[in-house]
Amino acid sequence: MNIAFTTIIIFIILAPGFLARISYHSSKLSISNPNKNIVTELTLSIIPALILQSLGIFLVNRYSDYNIDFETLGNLMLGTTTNGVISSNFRIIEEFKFQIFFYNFFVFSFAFLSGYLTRKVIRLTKADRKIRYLRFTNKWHYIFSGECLDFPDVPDDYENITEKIVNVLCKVNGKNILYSGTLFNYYIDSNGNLEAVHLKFPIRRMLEDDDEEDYHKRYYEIESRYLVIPNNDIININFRYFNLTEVQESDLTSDELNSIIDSNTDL
Amino acid sequence: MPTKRTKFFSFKKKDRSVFTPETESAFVRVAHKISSSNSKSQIVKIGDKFFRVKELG
Repeated sequence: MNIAFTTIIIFIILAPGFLARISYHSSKLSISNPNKNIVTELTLSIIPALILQSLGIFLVNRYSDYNIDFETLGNLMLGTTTNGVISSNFRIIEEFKFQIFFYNFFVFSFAFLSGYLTRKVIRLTKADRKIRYLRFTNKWHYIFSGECLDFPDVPDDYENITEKIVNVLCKVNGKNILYSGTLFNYYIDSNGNLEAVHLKFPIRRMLEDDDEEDYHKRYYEIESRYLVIPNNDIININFRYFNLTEVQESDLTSDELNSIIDSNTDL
Repeated sequence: MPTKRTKFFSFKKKDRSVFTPETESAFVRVAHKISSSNSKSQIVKIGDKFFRVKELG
């Protein structure tokens, strides 16, 4: 028996772990690199595959009329070359081909479902925000969404965010320009690097106006609702998470009335 | 160091009713006036509406 056949058998055994990992990472929370190394992926799939296969074997041996034939499996994996053994192994496979097919079909399906459900449970319980080890690979998600507020020792909560303001410092034609706007979206490449930031209601000003006394008034609106800034131009990004609550004028204290920031006059 | 109580489930819906395009656009234009070093909430007037604004984090 050649090494290719042994590889196929090992791949089938590890496939549930591989499928569980695929479904676990198939969301915007994970970086999906199409050039990932299949050997590394299979190596990382060993433990989940062993768990899922053990569960499958336990259920088959306990609740069905069949038993997993480890002797045949071992012969196939080790590539036994004795003629009698090879024919006997393939005779067994032929005899139980439907059982083998359905066992693998259900284990594969369960693996895919368990990866999906594990991700859902982790998101629902917010365990990824509390436990660093469970955090997903797309680190930008936590920053752009504001879920980083739920990280341990960070004050306030993600649920309280009603507005996200993003200030993006860019270098355009040798000049530093500060763009501000509400966050609309962001884009990452297959390696998880930021590709672009998508702002809504963008305004901008030159950074050199920082030296001016009235630099707050140096902003001017861009006649567009949406602006995409490619990462090539970005020097750094400032994130501000706000909670806005509408109040009545009569509810304001005298201190608050004296320190109102008026959008109609303060620009 | 502030501590937080772990909330495992939260289905609170955000009040997005205040965010008309005019409100959101106006807020972008005044956001840089809101102090980051102040932990208290500040009042922002947009049009004829008042908003209590608190920077989180």
